[in-house]
Parts: sequence; C-alpha cells; structure tokens
Amino acid sequence: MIIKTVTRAVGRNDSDWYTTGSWASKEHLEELIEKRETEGKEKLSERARIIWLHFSSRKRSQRLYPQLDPKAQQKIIFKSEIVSLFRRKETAKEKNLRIELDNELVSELPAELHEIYGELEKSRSILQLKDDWDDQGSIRYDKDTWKRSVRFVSNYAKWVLDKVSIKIPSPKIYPGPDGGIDIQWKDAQYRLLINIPRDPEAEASFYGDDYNKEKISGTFVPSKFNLGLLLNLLKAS
Amino acid sequence: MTGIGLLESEVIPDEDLLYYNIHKNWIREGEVMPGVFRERGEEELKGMSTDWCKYSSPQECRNRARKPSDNGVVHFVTKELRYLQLKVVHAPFRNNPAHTNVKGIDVPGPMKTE
Repeated sequence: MIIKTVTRAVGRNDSDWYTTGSWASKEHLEELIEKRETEGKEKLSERARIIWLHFSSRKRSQRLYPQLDPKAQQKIIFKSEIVSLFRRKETAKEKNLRIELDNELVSELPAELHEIYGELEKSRSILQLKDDWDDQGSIRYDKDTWKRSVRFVSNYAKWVLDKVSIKIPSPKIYPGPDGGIDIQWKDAQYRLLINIPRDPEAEASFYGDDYNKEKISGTFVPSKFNLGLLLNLLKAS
Repeated sequence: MTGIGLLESEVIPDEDLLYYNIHKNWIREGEVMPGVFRERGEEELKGMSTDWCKYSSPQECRNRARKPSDNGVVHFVTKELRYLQLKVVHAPFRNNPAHTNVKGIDVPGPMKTE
C-alpha cells in the first residue's frame, strides 16, 4: 500500500511526506517510528525528520497527552496521524464508483471519472437486447463482452488519469455488429471507433480519422494493448 | 453482367443515391450508431444491402423492412462510398431490382495509417 493517494486526499505537498525518490509505504512508516524510537532522530534522514516533526509537534502532544512523557507523546501522535491518514484513504476508496453485474465487481473508477462511469452504466442497457432486436437478425450481447468493454474503457481512463492527470473524454458505448460492442470517441476534430468483439480470443478493431485525410485503422488485443498508443489516437488534451 | 437473381446488374453512376433502412433501435439520442453500417451474408452475397435510386424510392426501401414503421431511411452518394474505397455492386433480385451491395466495410487488419 502506498501513501500517495492519501497525501492527495488531505491536500499536502508531496515533499511534506517523503522523499528518497519513492513513496512511503505503511510498513516503511512503521519502521520509521521504530527507528526514531530506538536510534534517535539523528539517525533519520532529513526528509524523514520533516515527516517526524510534522506529526509530532511537542506542543500538540503535550496538550493531548499530558500524562505521557514527551517521547511517548510524540510516538502516539505520529501513530495516530498515520492511522488517520490510512483511514482517510480507505474512506476515499469506499467512495469509488463501482460497476457491478450479478453482484460481481466489474470495474471501479475514482469519483472524478463520474462522467465515464455514467456512460458505462448507461451502456448496461445493451444487455437487455434480445436476439433479432433490430428485425434484421442482430444477435444479443453476452455479459462477458460487456464486461470486457467496460474494463477496457475504465482501465484506460484510470491509466491516463494516473499517468498524465488527464480525464479522457467520455466515450459512447454502443451495441456493435455480430455481438460485439462499439466504443466511440467523437468531437469536432476527430473520431475514433473501437470494436470489442464477442469472441474473447479475437482481436479488437479500430478506425479513427480527423474527418479529412488522416486516417488510422487496425486491430489489437485489448488485454495487451499499449494504452499510451490510445492516448495518442485520442489526442487527449 | 449477371445479377444474383439472374437479372442483369448495371454500373451505378457516381452521382446516384443508395437508400438504406435503419431500425429505430440503432438510434440513440438522435444519433445513428456506427454498428448499423455493416455487411451481412456470406461470400458473394456478403455486403451492406441498399437500394439504388434508379429502381427504388426511399418509401419503397422502407416498405421492404419487416416493420416499416420501426424504420427510417438514409441515403449515401455512390461517389462518396467509392472515395472511401468501398465497392458498390448492383446485385438485383427478382423481387428487388434496386438491390445493391456495399462491400469492404469489414476490413480488420494490422494497424495502418493513411
């Protein structure tokens, strides 16, 4: 478990927390508490000392725990802050938007991707279509195809948000040909259509253009797809 | 040329229109879903079935649907389909001399750019 999300949730600067080039895990922070207790603050790195000072203000600990000696006060404050932060993280997790089908979690999105969540939820209606739903022999849609489509979109949206802090545009999710599901991004500058096929072993196909001469098309395996490539295709901005 | 129903197939001029039925379930929030434009059938018969304006009106095209009231009709300009590298093949049936297949829509392949 990393603490990055927590620091964002409470609005602190990254530098308040940690810093040897990586994020602090819960285990590491516990180790830090132990080290501070057994070896003294001079053994801590400068950054770790900042963390320590941040949580163990002497005044605060004295006010809250006057019955304890200063060392114990610092320790208990530090621990309680850490516990509180992880609790906040868990709370934030609970607020994630969950997409479920038959009591099974299909995907989970952070609250800030609520527009995409709404579109994915709306696409659930595809599962209501019966065989010959268009009077032209179109077949119904398997739950598995829908789940793969939902996961593809949500994984991509989360990936982009995490990597480049961009919320991708919300796609339309449509019933596609032959039991496959179409995912369409479209605006005034470009359009991109991806078809997730009914057969889980088959490749997905895509077509995109700028309404003019620039076109791109091809196939890919959704589970192995380089999501960065899709970012370029979508020209996310 | 000989058509599928033993009727003679003709070359369709670029400027002619092709009519295509769209069932109401393929329309959402006023937009036609892309999946409706697809080929059906196998081998020689495979294609997106349309009606050539020379032998059909939009209303006649709509009346060929199983339940006409559930359908609308759009048209394509033959030239624009050919510009998209699609083939337009007149394939008349005895009961529908206007029948025309549009071929080349289903062309998955390795990624390419143009």
